[in-house]
Amino acid sequence: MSRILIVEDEIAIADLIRIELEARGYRCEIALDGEAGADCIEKKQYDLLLLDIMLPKIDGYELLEYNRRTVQIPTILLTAKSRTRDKIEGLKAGADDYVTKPFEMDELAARIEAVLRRYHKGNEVQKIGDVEINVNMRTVKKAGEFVLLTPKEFDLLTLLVQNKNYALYRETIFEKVWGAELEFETRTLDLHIQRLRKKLDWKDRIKTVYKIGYMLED
Amino acid sequence: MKFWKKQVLFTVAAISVILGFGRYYIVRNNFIHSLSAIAMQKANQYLLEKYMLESKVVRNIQSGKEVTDETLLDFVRFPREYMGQGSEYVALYTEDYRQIYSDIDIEWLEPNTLRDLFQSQKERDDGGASSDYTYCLLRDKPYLLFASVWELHYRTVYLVNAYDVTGVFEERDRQSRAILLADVVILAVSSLVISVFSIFLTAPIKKLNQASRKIADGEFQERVRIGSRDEIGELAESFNRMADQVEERISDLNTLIKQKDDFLNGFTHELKTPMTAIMGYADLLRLKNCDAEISRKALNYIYSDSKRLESLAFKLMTLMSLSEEEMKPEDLDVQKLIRRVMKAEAELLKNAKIEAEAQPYTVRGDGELLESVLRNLIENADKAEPRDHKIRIRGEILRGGRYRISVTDRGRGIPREHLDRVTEDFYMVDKSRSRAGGGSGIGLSLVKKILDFHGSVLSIQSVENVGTTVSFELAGERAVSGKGARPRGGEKSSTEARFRGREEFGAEGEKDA
Repeated sequence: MSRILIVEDEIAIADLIRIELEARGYRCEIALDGEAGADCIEKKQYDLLLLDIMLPKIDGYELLEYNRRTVQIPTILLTAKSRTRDKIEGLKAGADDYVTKPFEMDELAARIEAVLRRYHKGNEVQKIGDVEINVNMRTVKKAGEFVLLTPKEFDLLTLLVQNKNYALYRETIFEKVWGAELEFETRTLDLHIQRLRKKLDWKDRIKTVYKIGYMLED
Repeated sequence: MKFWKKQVLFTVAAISVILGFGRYYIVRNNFIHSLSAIAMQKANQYLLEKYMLESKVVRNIQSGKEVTDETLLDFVRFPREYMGQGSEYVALYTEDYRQIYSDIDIEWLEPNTLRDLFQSQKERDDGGASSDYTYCLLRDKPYLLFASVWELHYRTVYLVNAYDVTGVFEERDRQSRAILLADVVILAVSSLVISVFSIFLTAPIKKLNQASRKIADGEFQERVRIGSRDEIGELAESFNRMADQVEERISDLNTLIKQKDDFLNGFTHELKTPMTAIMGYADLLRLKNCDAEISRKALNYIYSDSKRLESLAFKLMTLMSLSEEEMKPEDLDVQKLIRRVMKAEAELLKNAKIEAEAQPYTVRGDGELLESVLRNLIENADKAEPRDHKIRIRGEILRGGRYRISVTDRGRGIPREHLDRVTEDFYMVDKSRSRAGGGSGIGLSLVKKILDFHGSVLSIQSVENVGTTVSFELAGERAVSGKGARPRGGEKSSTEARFRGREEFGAEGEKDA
């Protein structure tokens, strides 16, 4: 389980990131200003730093520099500054990636995964029961045997796994897997869910939630 | 080619031409003069010689001797050989131009030339008495030739006397060389002097050039320092003035760009932060069936950040639509204005209640805008969390007919290093705290701009952890009242009519209204 430090002065955003990332299986801590961030870095160990640039007390660049000279935790910058110049400055200062506000949590999660993967700290292989999912290779094994999934089935599976133990709404699942352009078709979704259940033998794990949609139980 | 080089080249060329003409004229003049002098001298010598010869011949004839060629020869040769007198060279010719005698071992003259010579002499018919002469170049040497036709009583003899005048010519050449040498020296020295002078003269131009090049390269603070009061000095002065202007404009532009940049940065930050939160929480809610606690939290965040966006949008719109032309100045009763603001703010304030004390007065200004100024200041005071839970508004008449309104709180105050910047767009002393109070950092910029239109400035006095007083002055006139007719007693009447409001709005105030 990767530990992530969120240094962000907007409590709303920090909270949001924490909620989302904890749902995806990360352990998160929040520091609301640069000073608190520096204290956390000094005292504890983290696998990844999410760093806002405009921070009170010690600003993001300074903290980045401090991190670079000491513990060198992989860092993703979070900022409203979207100009190329700012991005370049951030990356030059030693950040591993750069996400501009407003961002979608899926994108942030994907970037976090990518950075962690680079440092071999990511949750590359996720296990649920006897099913192993390798997000990198996009392969799924059940009891050591490869299971063939279509790309959409794989995306659907990843979404369910990332939000396991949460009931997900049908419409939103469809939108996230098939894209917002397509009109919602419950039949397509239901069909894919059925196939997943069959291929992975997850009749019990993938639950149908009345009036809402589906949920993957751990 | 550099200007100074051109100048040197042209001047030197001009001088050398002038010197050349001068040299030619001087040498020629000298030469002609010395030649005519020597010719005169030689002519006299020649006449003397001729006379001596003639007298000898006459004596000879008188003594009855025949004058033969030999006799003539003797006569001619005698003074030359024994006395070292006479012309350098002598030649005698018979009538048919046969040479009787010649000093020189070659034929000096072409018979034809000789014939011409004598012919012209004969035609003049003065018997060679005149000192007519001609020049001849013989064996590369110049000679003065005198030709005379000598009529003896039974025969005619041609006599030619030649005088070497090489000296004159040599003198001419010597002079020419000497002057040429002098010219060369003059040219060298003058070109040196002119070069130095030119370089000295063009040095300011060089300076100007360097300065303008630097300015062209973006070093706008560059100036030229030229002390002279001539045209170049004037040029330098205008150049500096131009550079001043350019620098000023550029710095204005840069400030403008920076302000715009800062505004945009602040704006995007203020816009994107709540947007990120709203989008994120909304996405969370529509995907997952979250538990009640998270849902509530998310909805709260969405609500408060939407409020923030709304307030930002509202203030921005006010700020942008603000223009001096659209201002509607009117006469405003200050007390009414303050009362209106207190009423509107009463229910919004979280930490304090308002106490107002204002002398009656009529100010000129846009009521709505001034109201918004006051509300902003009151809200700021409220956010400072006054320890005595009070916000004091004071209105007082100043000398000179102006009116000052001040808003005071005993809150946390503004740290000294932030004081100058609090009116900048999106500037916040403490972001997280301002956020919590719903601030966007744009309120005071709005206030500043509105006051700007009223010809007023915001003055802020603040001590950290003691309190803040924010005040501004407005133009206006004493409130018209029944007792307004007493000009000297104005002060007193105003005290009487002092707004005794001290009304406390707030939760209870709301009920009163």
